[in-house]
Amino acid sequence: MLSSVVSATVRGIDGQQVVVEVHVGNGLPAFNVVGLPDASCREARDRVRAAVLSSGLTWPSARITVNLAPSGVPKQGSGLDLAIAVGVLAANRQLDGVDLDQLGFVAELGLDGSLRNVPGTLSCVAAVAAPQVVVAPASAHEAAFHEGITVRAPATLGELVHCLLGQCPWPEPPEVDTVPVPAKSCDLADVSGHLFARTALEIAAAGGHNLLLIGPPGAGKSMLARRLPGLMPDLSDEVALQTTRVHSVAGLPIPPAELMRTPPYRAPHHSASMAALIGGGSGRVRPGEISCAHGGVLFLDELGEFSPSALDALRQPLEDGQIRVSRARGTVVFPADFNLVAAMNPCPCGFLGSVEPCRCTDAARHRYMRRLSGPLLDRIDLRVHMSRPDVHHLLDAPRGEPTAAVRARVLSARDRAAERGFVSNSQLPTEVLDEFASLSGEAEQLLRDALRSNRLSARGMVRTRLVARTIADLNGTTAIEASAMALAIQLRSTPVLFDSMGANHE
Amino acid sequence: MNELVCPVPIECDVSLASVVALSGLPNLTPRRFWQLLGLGDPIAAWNAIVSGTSPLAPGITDTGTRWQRWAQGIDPSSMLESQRHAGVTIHWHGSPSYPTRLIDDPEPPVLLYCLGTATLDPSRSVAIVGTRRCTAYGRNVARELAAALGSAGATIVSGLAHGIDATAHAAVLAVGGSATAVVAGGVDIVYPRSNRALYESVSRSGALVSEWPLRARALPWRFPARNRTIAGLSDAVVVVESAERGGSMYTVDEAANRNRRVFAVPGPITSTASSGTNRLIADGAEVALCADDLIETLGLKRSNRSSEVKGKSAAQAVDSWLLTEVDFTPTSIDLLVAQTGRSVGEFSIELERLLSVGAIRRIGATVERVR
Ligand SMILES: [Zn+2]
Repeated sequence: MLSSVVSATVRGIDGQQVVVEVHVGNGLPAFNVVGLPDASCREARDRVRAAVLSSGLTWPSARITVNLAPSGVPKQGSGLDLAIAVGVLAANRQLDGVDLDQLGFVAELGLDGSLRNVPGTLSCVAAVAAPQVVVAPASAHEAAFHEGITVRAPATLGELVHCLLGQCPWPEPPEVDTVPVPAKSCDLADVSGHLFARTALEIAAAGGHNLLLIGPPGAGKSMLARRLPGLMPDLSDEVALQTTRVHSVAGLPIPPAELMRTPPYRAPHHSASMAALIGGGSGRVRPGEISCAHGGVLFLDELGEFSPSALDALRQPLEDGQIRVSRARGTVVFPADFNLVAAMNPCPCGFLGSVEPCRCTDAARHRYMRRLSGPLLDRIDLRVHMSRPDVHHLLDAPRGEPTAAVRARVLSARDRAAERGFVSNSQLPTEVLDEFASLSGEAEQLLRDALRSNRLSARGMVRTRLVARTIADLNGTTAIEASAMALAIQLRSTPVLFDSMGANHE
Repeated sequence: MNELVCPVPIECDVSLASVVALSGLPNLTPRRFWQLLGLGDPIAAWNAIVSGTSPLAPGITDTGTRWQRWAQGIDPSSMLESQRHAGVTIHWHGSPSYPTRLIDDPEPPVLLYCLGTATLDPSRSVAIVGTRRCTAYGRNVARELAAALGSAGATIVSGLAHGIDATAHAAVLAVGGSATAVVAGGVDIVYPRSNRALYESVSRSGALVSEWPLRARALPWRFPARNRTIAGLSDAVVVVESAERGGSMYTVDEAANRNRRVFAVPGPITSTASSGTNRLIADGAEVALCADDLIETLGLKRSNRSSEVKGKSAAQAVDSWLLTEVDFTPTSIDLLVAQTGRSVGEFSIELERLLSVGAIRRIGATVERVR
């Protein structure tokens, strides 16, 4: 007997429909899976058999062949388990009278017959061309996004068979009791002082500029970075769908029955593997942290501690907003358009450029700063040197402006930028600078002086104009005034940290 | 002073080549070099090393075998040729181009390798030396003094190390003055490597000087000798910052042995980098209070500085609400913004203005007044 059941697999973050064809025929008992299954897919044989038996169903003592079609598409993961089990049962005539054409199946099977969540359910359900989809109860809220699809979430294979045969009603989809991503309350109002760094954060949110925070430990670098997502606008429909899919594929919690609208915040540790950071991995190709930060903020604390190869791999996504992960079975593209916030100490002791004296030798400072690659630094428009808040903050620390007020300015600045037809100012092409970033006479003079005194390079000048454009948008002015330009130069020109040769390290 | 020192008997390229070859011997201190030459003809001295029969270090001693092994890999004439090929000029004690200040030195270099265009006999020369671990204050002072003395016509002598040395050299070249850098390796060895750009500008418009041939590495035993050459080539030594046991203190000792004037720049008593200089002052060194004082005491002409003076007064004329708030020591920018109560935009304009005219300098999260 032959049966055919619809399921799906994930490629990148996109779902791909897979038809599971099962043939149960005469011959020595055997169970083979063909059609480009990966390792965990092949293991389905053992899981499926155990699940069927422990559900009190009959495992046919026959020659079973499973074909995963289309055969040219690599299948990964365990999400085809359920479809294979149902296919075997149907081909063995245990599901006679059930209209399987109306159903899709996306779930992993436990040895006890329970249905388990698989990463990427969101994308898989979208790819299944069937009005009803059976998923694990834990994935029900992910599947429920898709309008017009009825989600069935039985707890076990046994329960599923009873429901299919009409012996009992489908269970109600489980209530999602907790919000999986707790919105941690962090407000900019908690950050007092740090006026330049706060302003830089606002500019980063408004213009999509990358930000480097330099300062000693305890200066509040990560505290500030954590508050960037709160300043950013909600994710657009398109980005929200991509981000939610990435999180689903990565197996991260996603909000119940809706897309992620809050920009994500990811802060991988510098010891994270290349695969965890960039994407890839042996077996199933997973999106990395940089893709999980899609649409939001990627915070790299202690930038100098990350491996040079990892920092090098950041260049492509910073340029293109996506990352290509090459594997033997082809290339997978993940979205990776994030705001980079990087933090580092200025020197091994941390106090270079602070009021407190630095205790490092010049050679040690050189070695330390050399870890920052020029090409990466080039893509960071905003560089702020923070110092530890000192006594005056404790004495008369006024509370900082709250996130809501700053966010309102960011949103109206984003609106102004959108009127120019570009997503963010950081992506304005050079050709339109004169059209969109015209300078007042005073602003132009400031820029000239900064160039003349070697505090800006030629490339730095272009980026500085873009930052100035964003500041002007925040101020609500059409032309770039002197104050916007001066601030942009201050935030772009690399602070001279060591200048034994009078050289500027722009 | 030193009974061994006498003009080096060099009559032809062969004897010069032998001296050049001898100068590369491992662990050859200046004193032993003179002893070797005291034995007579340099060619014979070299051959004795090669054959292991030198009475100073026969091939049966540690040094003797080391020297012999090293010497057997050397062809003196091609070694001399490679120095000349690289544009290195050689001044030996007794040659007409040998620096006058070193002729009567208690322990003069046997010979000097030199790369560059500047004369080794400037009318006035001042050494500016100090620690590699200098503070922003030390850099400021080194820069200021080197620029002022350089503009007044003095050649600035230093060791091209990190910190004070490199700052002084960069500053004097920036005002078009003359720099003599005495290094502890061959003149083609850039040490520390991050100073490459500075090495190149010194060899272009100043003079790079070494007692050792090309490719000789900057080994620790060469630094004391290098320091005594710095002292010997200078009329006065200014120590900007140094810890009490810093290498600059050797230069000071060598300067004192040669009756050179020693000036020390006072610093905060809490700063390790100034502990040595403050101690020198307590012990009777002259105090370097400002560039003008030095220029006057050393009998330099101030007229050449007119351009510099003009630049300065222009900066002093800057009328700024911000400048009055900035100290000569690093001041937190965040603190300044809070104190002045201006918006970051307004504040930035003023900051930019002062940075452009060079009235202040920004280092990380701080600014400091330059003048
Ligand atoms: Zn340090």
